[in-house]
Amino acid sequence: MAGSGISTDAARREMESASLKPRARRGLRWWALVVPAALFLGVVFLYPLARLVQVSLHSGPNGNEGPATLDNYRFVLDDPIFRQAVRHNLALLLAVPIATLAAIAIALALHAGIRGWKAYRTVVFMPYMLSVPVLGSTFLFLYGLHGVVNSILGDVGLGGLAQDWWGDPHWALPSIGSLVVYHEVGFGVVLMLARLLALPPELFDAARVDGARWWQVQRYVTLPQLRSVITTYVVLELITMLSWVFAYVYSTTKGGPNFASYVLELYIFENGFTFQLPSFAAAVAVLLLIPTTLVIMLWLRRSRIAEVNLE
Amino acid sequence: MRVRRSRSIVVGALVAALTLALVAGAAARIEAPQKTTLTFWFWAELDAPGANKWLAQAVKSYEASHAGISIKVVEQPTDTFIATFTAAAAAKKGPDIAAQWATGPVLAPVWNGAITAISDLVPKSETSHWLNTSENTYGGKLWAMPVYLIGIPWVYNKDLFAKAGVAAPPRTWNDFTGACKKLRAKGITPFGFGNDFYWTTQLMLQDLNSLQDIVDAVAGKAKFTDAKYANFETAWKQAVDAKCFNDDVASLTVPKGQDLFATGKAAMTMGTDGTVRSWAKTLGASKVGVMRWPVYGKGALRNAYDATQSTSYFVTSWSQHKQEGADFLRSLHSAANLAAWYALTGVPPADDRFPVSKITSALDKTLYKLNTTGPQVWLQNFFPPQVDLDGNVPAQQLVLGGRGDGKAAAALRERAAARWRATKKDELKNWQTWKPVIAK
Repeated sequence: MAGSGISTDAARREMESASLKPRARRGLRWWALVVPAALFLGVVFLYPLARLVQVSLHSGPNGNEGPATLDNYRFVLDDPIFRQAVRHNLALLLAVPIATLAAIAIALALHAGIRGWKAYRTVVFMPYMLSVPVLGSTFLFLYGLHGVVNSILGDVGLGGLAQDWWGDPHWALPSIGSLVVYHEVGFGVVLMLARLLALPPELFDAARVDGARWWQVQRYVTLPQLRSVITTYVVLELITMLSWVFAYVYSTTKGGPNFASYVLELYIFENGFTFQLPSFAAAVAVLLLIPTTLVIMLWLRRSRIAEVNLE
Repeated sequence: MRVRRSRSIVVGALVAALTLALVAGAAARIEAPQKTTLTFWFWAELDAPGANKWLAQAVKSYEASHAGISIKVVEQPTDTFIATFTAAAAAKKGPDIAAQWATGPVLAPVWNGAITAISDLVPKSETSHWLNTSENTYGGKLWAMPVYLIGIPWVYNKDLFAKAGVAAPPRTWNDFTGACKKLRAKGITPFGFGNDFYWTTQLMLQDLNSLQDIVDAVAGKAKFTDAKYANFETAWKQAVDAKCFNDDVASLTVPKGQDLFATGKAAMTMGTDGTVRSWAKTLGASKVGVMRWPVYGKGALRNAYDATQSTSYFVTSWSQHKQEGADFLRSLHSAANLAAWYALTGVPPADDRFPVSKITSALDKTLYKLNTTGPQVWLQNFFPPQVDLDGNVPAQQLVLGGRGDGKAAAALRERAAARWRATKKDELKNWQTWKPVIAK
């Protein structure tokens, strides 16, 4: 019995160790997979973010002097130049529906199979491939008081509509908006067209067999199929208008005339680099991060809901 | 026995080889002392095309005659010229020798302890020959060395003036607006200009009585909205009303506006000496006239001209080779280097030992006379960059764009100065105690 008891204990221990081993191995594997990713995220995202917040709460040329206060935020929020920049970034959001509608319209037209649509697709996408400073210089020339746009308006008898597009404070920001739309539409067209080309042709044929007219096909078949792509494009464009317009502004008006096209990124750039006030720049960057994060979170939430609905 | 002997031979040979290597290494160290490398952050080409070539030659020649010195030149881009050095000064790490625009941009790092006084490193017998040194004098010491002088003269096209019946270059503001009307009547654009940088604020000088006036306004002891500091904007408004400028002045850059003069489409403009020389080449020297700014103001400085040494060169406080750096800078004022500078750039150097007889063209003689006669103040040097960018530039855009009057422009400048005072309290303390001296 005693001998049998020993062998039972040994067997139990063996069984326990056998059942622990894979668990321990799984645990190790889990750590091996998670730790590098966590380290990467920490170094690349969390540390800069924490440092940004730290700099925004302190003062000095390196953003590490004095006690942590909200003074920089108070100063920035009181600054009329900052408020003007916020208004301009918000005004630029109006370019998002314009770019989206234009991209949808062009994508639908190209998807309709007009002759030479592939060539048109390349032409529409081309501005997106050009660097923004190149486009900026071109638009400076096009929109000059004696530029091509005003010349054409004059030639077709609409000279009364000619403007000093860059020099007039009322037109400087809309001119930048139109430059952004020109650059971004091609990206939207390619995104939407890729989605449309991936759809089975039977989907459209069935709608037509059911007697749907062109508009009804677009309204009830095409647009619902494009919804996720349109949402993605709108989110990306919203982020662009809030925090990616620096190159457009810097290569054209540099925020002028008299701050008429001044945007938040220029505020961050000038305070951070030109005026050596990194704490103000950091405070604005943190403030800018809030709406951008909100937009991304809303988008992620919406994507999750869409996935659940699909399931 | 044989084995032991051969082992001792091997050991002996190894010891001998090691000793030899050590001795040879030490000898090599004695024979070839380590070279001192001086890093030089340089800027001048935009003011004086040819400057980079001149410096390359000067460095080559200096290195040839100073075997232990090597100079690494790093050209600085204009857009980040101040910001890059300010960052280096904050970290107390960077070049041994550097350039900055005179006065404010030099004195700010002086106040932050980033510059070694050049008067502590170069004897007075040498510095006494340098021109416009008052621009960088503070606390009884000279902090930076000049290389050349430039001003912003006004220029006019003699043919277009004759065509419009403008008999002489305008001396007063009324003469100027009168000339604009005559030129407009003949379909000629009177003044080609743009709207992206300051320059028009220079006219403020004509209402000031001393440089202390401008320092007081920056430091907050006076306001830019006070009549003394704001009146000049009315002059520009008068010029706008008299249609003096090209109709697209609000949307062109200054160089694009100046191009109207260079191509014979505008009768007047203003520019630095270097650009004036290039216009004289394009249009023909006989067609280009040079003049002082027309007088509008009533201050004691109304007749002061605007020459400056532009960029100044100095030794940083953290350099391990301060004397070597100063010696190299001093060498740039040798007779050979001064002659080479003029030959390569066409800009007279800022040194009274330079033989004026070498200046032969009438245009260069006029420019040199303007730059070296009477009081000289480049007013932009007395504005912190923050006030210049956020105050002077938008104020000019407002007035020249025809979107506001002098009062609104002055309010913009004061707002920028107030913001600077609130954000740069350490710098403000230095401005409050600064007693600037006029270059003569």
